[in-house]
Amino acid sequence: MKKKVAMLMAMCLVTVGMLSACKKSENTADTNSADKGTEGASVSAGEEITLKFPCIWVGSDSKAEVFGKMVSDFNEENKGEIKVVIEDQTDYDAYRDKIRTQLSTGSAPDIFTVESYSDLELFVQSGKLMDMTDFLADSKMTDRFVEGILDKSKVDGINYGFAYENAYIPIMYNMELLEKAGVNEVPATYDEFFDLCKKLKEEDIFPVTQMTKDNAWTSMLWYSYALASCGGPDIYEKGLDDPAFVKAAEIIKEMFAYTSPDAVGADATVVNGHFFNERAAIYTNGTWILGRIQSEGAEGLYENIQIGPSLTSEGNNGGGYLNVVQAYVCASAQEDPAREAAIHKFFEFITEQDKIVELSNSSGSTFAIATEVDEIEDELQAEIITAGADAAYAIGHFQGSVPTSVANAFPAALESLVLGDTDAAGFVDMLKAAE
Amino acid sequence: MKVRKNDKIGIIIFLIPALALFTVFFIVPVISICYMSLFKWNGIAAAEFTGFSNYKNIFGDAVFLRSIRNNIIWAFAACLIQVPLALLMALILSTKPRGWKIFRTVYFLPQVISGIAIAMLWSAVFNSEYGILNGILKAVGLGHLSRNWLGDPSTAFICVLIYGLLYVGYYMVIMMAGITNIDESYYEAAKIDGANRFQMDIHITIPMIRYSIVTCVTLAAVFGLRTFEQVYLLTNGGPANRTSVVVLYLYNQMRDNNYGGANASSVMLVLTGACVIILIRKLLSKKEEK
Repeated sequence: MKKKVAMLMAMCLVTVGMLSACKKSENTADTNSADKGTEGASVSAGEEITLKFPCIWVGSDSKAEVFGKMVSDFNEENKGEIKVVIEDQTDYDAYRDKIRTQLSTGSAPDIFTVESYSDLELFVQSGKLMDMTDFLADSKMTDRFVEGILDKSKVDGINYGFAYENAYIPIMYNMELLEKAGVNEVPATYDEFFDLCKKLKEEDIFPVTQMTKDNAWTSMLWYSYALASCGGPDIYEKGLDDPAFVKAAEIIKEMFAYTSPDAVGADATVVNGHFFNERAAIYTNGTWILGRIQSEGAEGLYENIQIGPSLTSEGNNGGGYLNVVQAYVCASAQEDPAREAAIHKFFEFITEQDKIVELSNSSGSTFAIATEVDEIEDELQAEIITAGADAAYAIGHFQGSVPTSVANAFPAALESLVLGDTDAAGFVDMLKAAE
Repeated sequence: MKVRKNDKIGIIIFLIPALALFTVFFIVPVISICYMSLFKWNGIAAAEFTGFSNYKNIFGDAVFLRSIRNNIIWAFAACLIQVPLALLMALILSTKPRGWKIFRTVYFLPQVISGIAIAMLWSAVFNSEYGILNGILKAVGLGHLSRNWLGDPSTAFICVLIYGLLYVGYYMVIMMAGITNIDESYYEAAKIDGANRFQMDIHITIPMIRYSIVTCVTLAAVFGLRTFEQVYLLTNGGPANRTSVVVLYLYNQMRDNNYGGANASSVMLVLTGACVIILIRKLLSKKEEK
């Protein structure tokens, strides 16, 4: 009996010990966490500041090598004072979930990226993001950025982050395949476009690439272009009740008659495969894909690509380009001015023009930091940047311009439209329901 | 048999760790989910109490209802197809035919392979352009039957459902373990009475492994109800939500920053699971209780 009582008491002691240890570590975390949200502790003079940066530009990402080198160079330059520690994150959804969880639990990382404006707006609600308005208003910083882009990054008039990766997304035509169909020029209107599609189909070439799996990325881009053509550059401000959303849905439904049979349920791999292997003639994606087209595409494909802007719909809104901020760089609010200054220093470092040129040349990506087009080594990439800058207008894509729930409803609504479960108006109703 | 006071203390001591873990990792989260399902919450800002509006919203959503329906079909298909198939395989392999160990290993193999790898393989099989299934159909002159299997509403759900057959080996091993424990004297007696193999299986083996079968049916139903990875990786609920299941639905609610809706879906999943398991236990334990 005594033995059992002793055992029971021992177990109770162990349990209490474990719980108190948990409580202790919780208290420690509380002490270390600044109320504003950062998990970093304040530093005493002379102590090296460590900044945590969960980063998506790692692994096989096209920016990984040069961006990693950039961070190493910064650490080397600030040895003993500041150290930026990259935490590898290779999955975009997991990255977003991680940041959101950390923000909601008050343990936000020092530096992180946000992939869309709607996410930025959401994360701002946590009250744990650093206000960078004054830092960015300094001409030393402002002058580095593409004109007006910092204002577009503001939420309620405050810069909680700044646009970093900023992409132009053109329509890409494989001219060799177009020539097989007897066409030598890229279309300018939707009538010409569908006429071209008919000719390509007759040649057993998939005219356009479409997909519905995951976020239906390339189809979402096609829908964005159709929306721009039907509704103009300010279409997203008009809201989902605008008839342009229905008209654009009719266009994309027609496009599915000219795509590969595996489009419903296809993911980006399938779509890329069709274009890269010259099974499909027309494709749309951002400049970041150029590197992959060069390395994975059929021989001569890259040289055969000609880019084009938005098509004219009923004589309106041609000549525009999709222009999307792919990544905003943000920081968590810091109580310690030394840590805040360290973060500013890092941001100054990663926005230096020569570094951006190197990053751009190595990855094919384009950035919100103004660069001279002459410095871009790749001709097609430079052409896209020039065309985007000279375009009749620039417009964001659908996914980044509507609430997250609407963007997430797009793939299923598109499948319903394409499979005939609903018509174009019903498609828009499905988006509205998600709103 | 009377339980002595000393034994009671012993029982409590041994139950405490499991009970503590169960409370911390199941009871508390479930209560928390039930409570949070009454709030509108985007995961960042303060939660706002909205009563049962999340439940009203999910029950007004055709996708949720379809997801529940798919889950129930999935659970029943698992119980009515996978388990009988596993039983058949277990009965055959327990007779130890030539190469039975190889077959046992092969059937169990999918269990130790990553679900992601299998899903990738499966989606390659069904791909309309380069998939092996369409390739075979074309090769044998049935090219007109080839299609976009995972993108066609009439075939997508069946294709995803078939995926579950790869895991039949798991139930087979459980039942084989049960068969191994049956005393050989039963079979010897049956043989003397002139029973054939089929009669022995029906009247001896199956009744003797009843508990293993009940366990397999319960596990199959549970796995069916919590299905996620196959659907997420193969179709992501498509085409047009035809293959959506509740776990995928709640995952999508979280992606939409609608944590209230996700919690309400979770509560419904827990309740559906509890109902299905109680039903299975009632149906299969009836005879024993009587």
